[in-house]
Amino acid sequence: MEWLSGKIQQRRSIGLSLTYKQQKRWLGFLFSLPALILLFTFLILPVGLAFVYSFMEYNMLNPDGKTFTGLNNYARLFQDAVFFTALKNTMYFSAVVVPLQCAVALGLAILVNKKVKTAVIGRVFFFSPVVTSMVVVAILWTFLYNVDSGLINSGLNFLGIPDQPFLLSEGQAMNSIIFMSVWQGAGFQMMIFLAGLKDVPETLYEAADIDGANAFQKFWNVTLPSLKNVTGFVLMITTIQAFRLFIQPYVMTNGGPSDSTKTLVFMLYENGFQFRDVGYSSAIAVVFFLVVLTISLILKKVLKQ
Amino acid sequence: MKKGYLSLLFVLFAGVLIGCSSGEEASGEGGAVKLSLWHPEGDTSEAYKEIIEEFNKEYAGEIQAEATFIPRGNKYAYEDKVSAGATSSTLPDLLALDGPNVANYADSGIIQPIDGLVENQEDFVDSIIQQGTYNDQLYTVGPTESTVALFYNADMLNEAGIQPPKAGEEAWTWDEFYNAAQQLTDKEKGIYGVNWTLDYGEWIIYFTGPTVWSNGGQFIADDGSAVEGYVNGPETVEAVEYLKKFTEEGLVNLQPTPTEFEDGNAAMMLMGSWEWAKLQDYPETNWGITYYPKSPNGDQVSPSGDWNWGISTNTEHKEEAATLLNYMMNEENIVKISQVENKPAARISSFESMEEWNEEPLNVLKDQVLNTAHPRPTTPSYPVLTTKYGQAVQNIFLGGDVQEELDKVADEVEKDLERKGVK
Repeated sequence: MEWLSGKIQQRRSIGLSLTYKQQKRWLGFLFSLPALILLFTFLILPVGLAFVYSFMEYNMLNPDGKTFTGLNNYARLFQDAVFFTALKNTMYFSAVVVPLQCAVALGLAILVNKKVKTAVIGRVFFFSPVVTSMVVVAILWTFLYNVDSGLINSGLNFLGIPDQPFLLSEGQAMNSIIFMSVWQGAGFQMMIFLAGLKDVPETLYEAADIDGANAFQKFWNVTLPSLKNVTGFVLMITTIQAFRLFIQPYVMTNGGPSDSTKTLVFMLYENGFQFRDVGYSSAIAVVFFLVVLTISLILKKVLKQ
Repeated sequence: MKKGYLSLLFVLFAGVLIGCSSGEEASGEGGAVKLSLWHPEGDTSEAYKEIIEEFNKEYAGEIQAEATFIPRGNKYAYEDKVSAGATSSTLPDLLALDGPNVANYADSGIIQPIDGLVENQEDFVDSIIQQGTYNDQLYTVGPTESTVALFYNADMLNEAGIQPPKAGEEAWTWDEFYNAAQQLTDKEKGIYGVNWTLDYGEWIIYFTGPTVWSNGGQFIADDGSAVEGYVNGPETVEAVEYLKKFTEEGLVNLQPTPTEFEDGNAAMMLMGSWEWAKLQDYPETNWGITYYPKSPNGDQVSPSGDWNWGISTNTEHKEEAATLLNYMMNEENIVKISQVENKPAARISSFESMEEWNEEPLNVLKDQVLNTAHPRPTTPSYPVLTTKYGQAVQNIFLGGDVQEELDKVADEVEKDLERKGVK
């Protein structure tokens, strides 16, 4: 043993002072360094800056003239009626879209979870809206929703239902956006559910068959419980995505009519880029972050039980 | 060894980061001064490319200019790019900007006064100089002007026995225009009396402005200190109420196709002066142009304003930038730019040399540009004013209450004026 520690002593004296464990740690750090630098530059730093700017009066065109104004932006935010409208709209959108989109996605996943050729075509079919740019999808749906010449109203007329105003009506605009968003987004969650379904052991279904369970009972007692973890994950990402609603109102309604489709991110964009009020829009961003964080934490707690 | 790797990596990353921020040197080939320009991508891009190429040849070894053309869309993508450039101090030497932004950019200190630098300044039409002026100093000039007039389908008007006015003094009053629209609307055949676009960008304040001004209304006080009682004042409310009648009674399509008028599905169209070029592609449609209708209480007024060039405060070569600006804005080049975009020229000498503008139907547009043009308000709060007013008018066209909506606009803009220190 004596000679071994002697060897180590010798190695240390020639400059390599790291033990194997230390080397491993450094190397690990080294390999993650590129990712860490990117993460810091493009995520942590901007979030930190947004937090700092939210306490400032900051005109985007005049960055040298920014001054600290304490809680002014926050005080203004909580007196702004538009903010509460936007918060309400965002909440409403999420509350409707999340369960609806997850249910549709699960339904589609079960539908295409067959070992036949047509199921593969179905998967491509349902997934294709996801890979299409949201801007393109939104423009296309604007045409579909056109009151006079849109396809949807033509269809309704065929069924004897009169023209609906869709995007032009305060009452229907948000629901119209919800409908197309579910159509566009469900394919993605379908894929995740599909992966989950493949993991459900066939033996469970065989056992259920022997017990004489019908299709619904099999779904309720075998499929759903087996998908518990996947469902939790899907709910979480869908919620976070839903809160970021922006492109659809930006392209289709411009937040109208009467602010009925104005969302938090839309308001943030409008104040930040159009009015160039970086301070105020940073305050919106911070509040938005806190809202999403709180809801994610609550969701996590609920899903754990 | 390991330590060596580590420091090597750090050096590499530091190099990358520094490389990103150091930017280019300001001198080009052979020690020439390098100038950069930003302009929205569009029909004029080719004309500018040509002009700048010629400029670079003429000033070889002294000045070398390079233009970047940025896609715009019908919203504010180009303005977003300028905002980002201002934040990071990476603005070009010469910057194209839409007329109504002059006050906001000048107030924020991203463009600088060019008083005394513009050659033949008195040759520019008044409205372009008014547009480029903020706090009694000239900041920008532009090659072209614009206006909105009433395009009509001559066959449809003939059939209905309606005579469109031929001279500015005879321009239709509100009632005459409204009656004509009513008469020409045929709901059964799906023909609308009038077409007007409902873009979400700058268009709404631009095309409804003359209705307001003609009625004696204003968007903002003359000294720019208040909007309360102006944008929601009785004259403005009356003007917007008048426009609302058209949408309420279905004389205007709220979701028109881009070629509704061209396809013969609308009898008239309130549209920008650039539209006549597009109409050339529809030889079967027999069209004409008449004046923007006027309020019974006032004069005939038309909107104005177009893209301008300003010299940014980031430039280190103001003198050379002015040389390039004057080169682009000389008589000959303005003709070139105007012809590409089919827009009225902003230099009177250039305008006079373009023959087709003296004849029907374009003479109406020329008459409006030279005689009845009204600039949009110059105020640092313009972005808030135009956005909020545009949204309000959209709501009104969809059935909202005029006074209520305009009160909200006044409220928002007043607050912004206060924050900008104007009040």
